[in-house]
Amino acid sequence: MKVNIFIWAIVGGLSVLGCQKNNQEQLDKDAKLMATLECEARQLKEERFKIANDIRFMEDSLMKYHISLTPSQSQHIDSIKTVLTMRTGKLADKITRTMDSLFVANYQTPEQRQTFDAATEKMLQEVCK
Amino acid sequence: MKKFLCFIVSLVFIAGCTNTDVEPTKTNNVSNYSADFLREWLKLECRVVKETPGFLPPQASRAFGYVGITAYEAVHSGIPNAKPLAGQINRLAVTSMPVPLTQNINYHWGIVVNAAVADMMRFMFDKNLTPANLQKINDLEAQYLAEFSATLNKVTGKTLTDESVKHGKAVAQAIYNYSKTDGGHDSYLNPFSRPFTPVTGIDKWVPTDAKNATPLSPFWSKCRPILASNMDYATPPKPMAFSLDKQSDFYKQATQVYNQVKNNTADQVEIAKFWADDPFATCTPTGHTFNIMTQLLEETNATLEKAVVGYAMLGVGEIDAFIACWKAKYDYSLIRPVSYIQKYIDPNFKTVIGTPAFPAYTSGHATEVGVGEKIFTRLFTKGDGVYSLTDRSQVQHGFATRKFSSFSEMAKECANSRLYGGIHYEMDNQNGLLMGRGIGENVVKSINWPTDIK
Repeated sequence: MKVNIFIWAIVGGLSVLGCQKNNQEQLDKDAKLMATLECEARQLKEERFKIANDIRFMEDSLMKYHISLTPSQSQHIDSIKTVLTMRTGKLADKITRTMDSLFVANYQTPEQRQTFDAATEKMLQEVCK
Repeated sequence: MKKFLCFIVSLVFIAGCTNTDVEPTKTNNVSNYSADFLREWLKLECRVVKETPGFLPPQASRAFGYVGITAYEAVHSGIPNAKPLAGQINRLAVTSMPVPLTQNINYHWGIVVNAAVADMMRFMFDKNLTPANLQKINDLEAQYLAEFSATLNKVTGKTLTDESVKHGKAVAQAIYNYSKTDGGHDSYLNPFSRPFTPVTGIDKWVPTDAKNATPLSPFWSKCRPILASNMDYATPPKPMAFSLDKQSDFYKQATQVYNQVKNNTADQVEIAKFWADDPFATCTPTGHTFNIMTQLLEETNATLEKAVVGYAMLGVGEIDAFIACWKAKYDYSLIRPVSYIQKYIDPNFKTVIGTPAFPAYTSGHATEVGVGEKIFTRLFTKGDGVYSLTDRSQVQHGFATRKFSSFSEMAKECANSRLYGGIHYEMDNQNGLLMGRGIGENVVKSINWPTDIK
């Protein structure tokens, strides 16, 4: 009897360890997926703000000397904004879909999501230079 | 023969048992419905605001606000002891609203809200709605209608569906008719109210970008507030008296901005960008706060009842926050920090983010997030505002999540972000936050909202 209990305890412990290993593997896999997408989004964000500032400072300089943008300059700026907005929107949709499906599948509680956030941020430090 | 009759009778019973209507025996409360679909509508609204010309912060607050109000008003009769907003909000008479026939019809509240919100989205963006976004609205409406209808009994379902759609659309039309007289209708067609001649003076607003020689929505304070009593918060203390004296409080406010920008940490720069959302396409501060509401509803598994109450509370507050804030802005038409600093302190001063084209005092961000703080506190805490919030609303746009231990902390960071960005004086942010908090509290206490919200 005691031997049976002992054997079942070992089996139970191994199962728990096995589950934890699977959970960790799943977390690492999901975090890597999100981190890859978020890295791209962060780089795109920096690009957007840099371009926005370049445009702003250029327009400020012109304003100082009471010079207006030419129609073609305005058009060029508008097309840059449109392209960047579309790229951002497309990537944002992809990230939203991925995040929503991961949350529904594996990370439903706030605590699970915080663990996921931490894992993703850690992975970001590795994948996103 | 007997066996055949028994078989037929059994079939009839089985068919009855597979009826998937919300049964009259189970009370048809809005809290029995999922809010998933309504959250998707509000996410779509964020996208539509970004992509529809003319939807700047005041216009966006109005669009989000009326969608929230419509959703609640369409289903209040399905919430025990709930009172309609009609009769409680400014000039919306009970007699102007369609009467729900809940004695005779077991409305499908999901279908009702879906129809109401779809129509209100089309109404709010109307003339500038792109064909692609109109299609998205139409498709989303059809998708949810099909999903909901599929759950209904094949015999009675069509009538129930039709009546539910009819009621939802009737409510949306009534709220839209109400909105048309508020002073902001169609403002997105000329958000700068041009032609307009700004007031001039040494302390007055001057253009801060090359494109906008006149400021945004100078007459917005004339819009009709949703709650007249919210305008008690529209007269903050006067801003510090303008001065070029280096010992003056005003000069110190300006140098505080200057020094902040020069000494910002990397995190403070990130905070400024986070709350500004995006330099090119933002669903505006109201949109960000609505996104946080959507996240909170999702992570707390809120039912449709809580969602409609939440979006309506926030909607009322946001509309009035912008009317109040814009009143202060144009009462004083105060010069922006960048204009003052470049003229009197350092001509090479550059802000972290672009200065929006309207006067300084008070901050729109600070005012509207103050509203959000109080409404989130009411809905998601025991009244102390303590909530471990991870704001994920900007992850898809390349921002890290931001963590807060309370809604007050969240609101303060949002308000401070405008100082870090170099675009508001400290007094703009602090007094804006106070205005918003006052309005938020007033919205919660002045309207007879359902109690014990599920």
